[in-house]
Amino acid sequence: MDGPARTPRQRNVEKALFTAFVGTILVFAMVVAWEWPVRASIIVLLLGSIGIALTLVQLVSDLKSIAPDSVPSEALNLEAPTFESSSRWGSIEIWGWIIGFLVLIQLIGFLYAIPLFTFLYTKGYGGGWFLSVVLATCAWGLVYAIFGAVLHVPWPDPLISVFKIQ
Amino acid sequence: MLEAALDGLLGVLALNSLGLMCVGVLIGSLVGFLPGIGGPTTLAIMLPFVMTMQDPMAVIALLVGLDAVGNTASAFTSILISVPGSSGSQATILDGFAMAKRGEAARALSASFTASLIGGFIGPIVLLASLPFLRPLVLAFGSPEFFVLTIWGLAMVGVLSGNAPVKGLLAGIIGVLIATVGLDVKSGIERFAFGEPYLWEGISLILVALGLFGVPECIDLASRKTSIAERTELGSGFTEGIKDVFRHWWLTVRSSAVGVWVGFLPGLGSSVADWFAYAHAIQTEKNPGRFGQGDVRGVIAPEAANNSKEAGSYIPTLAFGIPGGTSTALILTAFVAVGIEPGPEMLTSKLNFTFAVIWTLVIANIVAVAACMAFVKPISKACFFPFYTIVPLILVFVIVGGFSAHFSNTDLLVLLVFSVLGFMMRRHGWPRAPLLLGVVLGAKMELYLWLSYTRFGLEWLSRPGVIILFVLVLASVLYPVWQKTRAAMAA
Amino acid sequence: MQLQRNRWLAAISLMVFLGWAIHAATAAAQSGKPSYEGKTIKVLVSSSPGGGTDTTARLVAQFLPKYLPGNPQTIVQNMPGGGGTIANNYFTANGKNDGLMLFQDSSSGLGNFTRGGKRIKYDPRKYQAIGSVTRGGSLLMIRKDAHPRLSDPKAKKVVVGDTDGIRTWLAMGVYGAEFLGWNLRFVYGYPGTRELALALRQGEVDIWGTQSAKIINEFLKDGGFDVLCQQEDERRPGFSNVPTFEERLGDKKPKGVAWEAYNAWTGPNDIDKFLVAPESTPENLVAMLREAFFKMSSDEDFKKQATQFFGDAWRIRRGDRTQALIRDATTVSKEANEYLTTLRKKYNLPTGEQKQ
Repeated sequence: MDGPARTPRQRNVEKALFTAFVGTILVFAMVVAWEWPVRASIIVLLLGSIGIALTLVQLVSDLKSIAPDSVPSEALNLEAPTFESSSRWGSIEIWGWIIGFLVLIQLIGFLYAIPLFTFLYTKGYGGGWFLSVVLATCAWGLVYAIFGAVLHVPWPDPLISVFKIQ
Repeated sequence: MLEAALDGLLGVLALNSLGLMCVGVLIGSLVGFLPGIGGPTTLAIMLPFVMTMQDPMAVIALLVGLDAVGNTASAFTSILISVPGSSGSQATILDGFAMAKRGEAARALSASFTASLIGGFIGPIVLLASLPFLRPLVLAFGSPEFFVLTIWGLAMVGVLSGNAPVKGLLAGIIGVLIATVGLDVKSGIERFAFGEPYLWEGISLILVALGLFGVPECIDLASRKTSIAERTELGSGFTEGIKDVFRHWWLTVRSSAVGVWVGFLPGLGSSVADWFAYAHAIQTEKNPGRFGQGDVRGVIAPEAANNSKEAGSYIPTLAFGIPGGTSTALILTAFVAVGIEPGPEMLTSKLNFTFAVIWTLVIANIVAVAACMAFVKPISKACFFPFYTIVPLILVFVIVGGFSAHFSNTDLLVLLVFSVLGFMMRRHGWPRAPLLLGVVLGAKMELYLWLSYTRFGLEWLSRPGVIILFVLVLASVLYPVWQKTRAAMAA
Repeated sequence: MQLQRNRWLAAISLMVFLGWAIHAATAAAQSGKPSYEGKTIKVLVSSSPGGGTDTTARLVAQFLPKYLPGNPQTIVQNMPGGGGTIANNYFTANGKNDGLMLFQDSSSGLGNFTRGGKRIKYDPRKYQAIGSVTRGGSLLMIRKDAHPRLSDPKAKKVVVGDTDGIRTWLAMGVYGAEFLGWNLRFVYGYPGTRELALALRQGEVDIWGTQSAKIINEFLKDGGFDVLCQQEDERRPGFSNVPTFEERLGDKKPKGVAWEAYNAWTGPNDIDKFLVAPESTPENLVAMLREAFFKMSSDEDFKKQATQFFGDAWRIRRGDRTQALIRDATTVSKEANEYLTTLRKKYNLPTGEQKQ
């Protein structure tokens, strides 16, 4: 995935790919909307066409910046710069944790997954035993108290039925 | 009138009312703090208890107190961990979180609460001042006028796109398209639902906000493997933030005005008040270049607006019994249950109840801000905790909060999709705010255009309200352009 | 230092384990008895918070547990959309036989089912009805300044406003236009009651119908509004000077298929807001719920609150009667359905046909 860091060229290629992806979504939306009655489809078709035109403009701009002599813009930037990872895996690691957590929730349910995930993450990245357990307990406690006892959030049944609550 | 004002004040200051108000403030603040759970959910839960209460003043103190403060404490999560605690504190993230990363969390927080305090004063003052012409004011806005207002909102997309207007516009378009997902009343078909009942209701705004803003920052944090504050020194602090609000007092007042305005229009939705104020600040302030990088003005504007909008949303409620949003709809239900009849009486024979509402808005706000201020210093230390304590907690609360949208597993999937989208957008420099705005306003824009057209044909274009608003929209869009041209010519 | 920490650790782990053990034990112990002790009933509502269906659901959720053995907790969950279609589909797909999920629907859900279409994935006849609350027939309001234009075909058309274009009170408008020559056109798409109330006040909409006596009286107090007619067999108390729609039709009242179609459209209104349990709920639970519902209706506090919300004209119907009414309301002949479709198309109202 990421190398030691992305080169500017790699970065710009990824940018162009994302732009192309957005364009594809727009095309797809317009194709689906084509079948609908006019009053439902008009907004999609109108905005979709404008969007596709804009995508092409942006694509051109992205491809030009892949060329070696382009200069980044100086104007108002409302998005703080993203962190460029210096490790080999970069953000894949955290995505793994997130997806793992979601899968864990499906398998054993919220109220078991939450303390387990919290404990594993904290311990895994350098927290001590004590801290990890306390954090896990607090996370579980807060969720149980607020979302469980007070709000009566109906937790879905986990896939592994042994962990079912009530 | 003075009698009613006094009566209202005394009713609200009575020991049990005051106590209940504090309870309401506590719950409301906690709820504001937690992502995903909002005012409507809590109000809905409290309804059964409230409906059995006898004292109308106590009911007002509790419910209005709860509702009014939801957007104050939510600044904590917006600023510290970039997770929108409530729908009113999304814009605060842009500059607030940037300040936290510089170690200026205490300053951002105290500025936000001071701005909330002021907004919370100005709102009720405007409400009070407009009491005499409450009804004609509400009646002046029909579907065509609402349509122009949504256009105004969407014009903000341009402003919020900053240096990437093309990407911003595209993000806005995608946002509007996302808003079209679901059952379309005017044609009777389901759009982009592909037969999935889950999608008929459309995509929940909470999930979009959490996914776009909450998760990507958390990923950033986890990848950096440091604490939230990238610098280790504390930076400027608590008192500085308070001073900031007074340095920019005119901005605070203007933003509060914007907030009341937005809150008053039923159906525009309160989730746009902070964005409108933020965009307005960019358009009208000098040196807008620092917005998004940690400019305290980017915290003051939205936070003032999201407190003043609460008062605004009571205008249609008190004038006609027309709730300004889901929260006020639930509050009205409770009012009816204890014998407070919304409608013309609220402005005549039952004026004391109206005043009780106004007083509660003011007092609850003070209490909430005081409580939040007390926590600023200890909580902002969290910016220096190691990432492995913060990241799991963020993820837990974002995911549980997201689940609370419809209590469905599919919510988690949607959250994941938007997290990925938010991550990609951030990575490739696509502004995310326009997408959120598109989702919020897109459906309304389409709806009001449809209603205007079927009801009035093309006549709606010639209504005086429409023309005035159009002119205002154009002015607000062209003003910064004109300013820049003037500056360029002078150079 | 290390020793102390380990002790803390051990203590916390022990507490957590004990807590879990107790929890599991109590859960196991409870699984035998058919009581609602310690349980929570979820009441699903097919509308968004604040409306009539929602208010009814919350009222029921508040008082029903008093009369159920074990006095369960209740939570209300709103699932608006599609005129009730989304909630109905969800309820059908997810309702279990444990008596822990009930559904508060309104006549719109029945109306949608009768109209049919690809989106309808539920059958209300299969639900186990617990009881219903009816608030009296709808009343049609008109702005005084539009009233003169109603019977004048040369004047600008009088505008009728609605949410999704399929409400039962609209039948009065449509049949009034068809058989009484009312000069009407229909605009729909308004998000909800509050927007329509505002639109009526502004003159964006000239005619609107609602069952809520409260809203009607507010408008009448404001002045500038008349009540045209009411959709009832007999005049409601409190509106005894307002003719019923049938009275207004007089000898122009249609017969045969046309009238059967009218009843098909408005029939669900008799049932109004009804509470059901899933199809698979065992008989003893259904009986228990029905009994509780009926007892609840004699509760003084319940009656007081209901009157506060709905006015004087509300009544309760028992579960078995509600079940029979649901069956009646959803049994419509093909000819009547076709008649309705043609009529609706004529006035630019939605017909429920899927165009996908």
